[in-house]
Amino acid sequence: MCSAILILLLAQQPFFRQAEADAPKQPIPYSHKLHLSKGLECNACHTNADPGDSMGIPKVAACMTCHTKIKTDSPHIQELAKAAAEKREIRWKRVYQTPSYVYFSHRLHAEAGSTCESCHGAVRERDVLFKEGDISMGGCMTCHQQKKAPNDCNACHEPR
Amino acid sequence: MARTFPVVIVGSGAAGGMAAWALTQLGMECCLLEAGPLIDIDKQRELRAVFDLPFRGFGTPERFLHVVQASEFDENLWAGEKENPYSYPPGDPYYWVRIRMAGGRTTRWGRASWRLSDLDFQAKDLDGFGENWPLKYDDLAHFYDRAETLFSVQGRNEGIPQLPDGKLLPDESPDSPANQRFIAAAAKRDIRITKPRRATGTLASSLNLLLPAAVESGKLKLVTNAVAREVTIDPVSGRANGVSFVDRRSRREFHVAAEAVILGASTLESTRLLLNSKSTRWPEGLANARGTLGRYLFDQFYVKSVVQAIVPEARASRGQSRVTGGAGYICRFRNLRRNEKHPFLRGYVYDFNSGSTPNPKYIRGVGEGMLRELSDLQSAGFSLTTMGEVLPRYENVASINPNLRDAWGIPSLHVVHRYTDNEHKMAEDSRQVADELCREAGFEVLESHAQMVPPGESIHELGGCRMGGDPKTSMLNRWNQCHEIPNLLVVDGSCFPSGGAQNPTLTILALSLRAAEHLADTMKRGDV
Repeated sequence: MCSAILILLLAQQPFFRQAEADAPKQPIPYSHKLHLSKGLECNACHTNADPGDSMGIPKVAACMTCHTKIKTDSPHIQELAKAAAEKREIRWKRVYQTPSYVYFSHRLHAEAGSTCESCHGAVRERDVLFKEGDISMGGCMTCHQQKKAPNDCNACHEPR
Repeated sequence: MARTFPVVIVGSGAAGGMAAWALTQLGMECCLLEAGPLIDIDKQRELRAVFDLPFRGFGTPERFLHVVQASEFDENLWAGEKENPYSYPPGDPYYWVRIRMAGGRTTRWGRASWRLSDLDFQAKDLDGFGENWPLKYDDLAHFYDRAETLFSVQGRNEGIPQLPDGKLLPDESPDSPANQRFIAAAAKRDIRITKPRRATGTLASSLNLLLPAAVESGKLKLVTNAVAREVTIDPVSGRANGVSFVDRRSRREFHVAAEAVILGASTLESTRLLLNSKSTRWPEGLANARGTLGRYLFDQFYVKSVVQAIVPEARASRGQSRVTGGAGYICRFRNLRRNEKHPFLRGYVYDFNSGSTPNPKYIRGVGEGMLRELSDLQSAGFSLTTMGEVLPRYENVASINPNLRDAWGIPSLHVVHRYTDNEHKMAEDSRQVADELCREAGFEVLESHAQMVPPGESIHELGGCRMGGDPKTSMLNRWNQCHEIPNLLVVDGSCFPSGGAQNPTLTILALSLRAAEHLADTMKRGDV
């Protein structure tokens, strides 16, 4: 039992290597590093619709704005094109997700000067994304404390 | 269990977890009994989807009659009242909120971490009521320092005498314009306001901050699903020699032998355990020589949303206003000095929040009109909650109900706790002051009231096994040892002789740390 609690609690720590090994396997391989090196910015694909809480996961149509001409001989791009032709979306796996009892606005954080890398890590250097940024309550509160942002409960949770 | 441990601890929350941490860091072996399971709290506290719930979010009938904090979405985390019944007099409900799992209620607490001061420890000196604590602030200051460091408490050190400074991570977040205006209005009345002090870090809990280090030391035997039934006594020496418990799932009976016993099972559970530990030597409950066990029960009363106001310039901002936002804490300002003329003893504090949207119950009208008004008031709200000191009274008592047992056959509690004129007058004073402060700050007051929540609902139950210098009127000495049985300690909130208005968890952590280290020291010297 003692070892069980230790394993459980150690598993909650943001061990980089473990997080990398646990990276979700995406239905089609995708490299953030490659795409960003071509001059794309994050918000070219991840749009921030009103009211600004969420960054969207791109639809197949967004991918196809470029890939109708680029790398069309790749089997993975052909898979993408097939999905577009069938009006079917790809079920990309989410890497980051805040719990249901937290509200978080991407827009508010961007306006306050945070960058994507602040929470999501070195995306430009990653072929495969994994949860390397700490978006636990501790991670959020530490950043808020350092940046002199409020750590009051109602900053992130609905008062009951 | 075949072996004898140096120490057995009951409860793994703030009190028991801290005792386990302190003793194992000093190299002492402990056995820790926890009534609930060991679970992955991150997984379990994720709210379930409404379509997965048998009652679609309305709650399992009668499972949590008195746990207003629980909902069907998270009811897997709370101790149900069918398995864990208790009683109270007709017409005087008592709300007993429990969590049974490793980490106890620190897995769900609000993280508010305040120190008491000598205004609280030596309160009798000022107004003559009750008993002073058998220790002073200076005795506990060092332990507060360490508890704050362990729990990464963030806040502001502002030199407020009734709220001593601590070892805090600085809170340099700005106050919103609405809060600044409120703070200025309060300052004109010499009322001090500070930012909330809260434990930070992921799951600032015994489960995450205390138990892992205790386990890692190799000195802790953690036994989960162990529902304590009784503290056992050596018939020859009269000393505590262990704890008997029931396995929660198999219902098999076990006993763990120990040279010393520490109870940190929570105010009411530790009291219940002692009351249930009867023998010919102790027919009224263990170490209960003078009938004080279970008595002087109290808590801190809440008046939730004592005032609900609106910040006028945040109207019509559709939630985009930068005028409101953030929280604050109004320190006690009543009866700080002798001879203040108020119709009540002691004092109260407030928590306040700005930037919320008022509950529709505050809006006049229905239908489209109400929706328009609500939309207009989005994020324009300002509300306060009173937290007041409750006087410990002999009449407020937890005793065993001979006709009621829990799912494991252990006799349950009957809790008698009534608020008196002192609390009612204090609540009314808090309503009046909050109302005036809001108006002086230029806010529109939608509603004010002085209706306290029922006793227990604040989940700050305290007393019942109090410390004191006199064995005739108290159960424990200044080191949390039973006067009558020095190798039996009670380190949770039941040991409080009085409690101020500050949230008690930090004081429980500090007291448990102090008591455990003293026990280790005396055991090594062979004095216990």
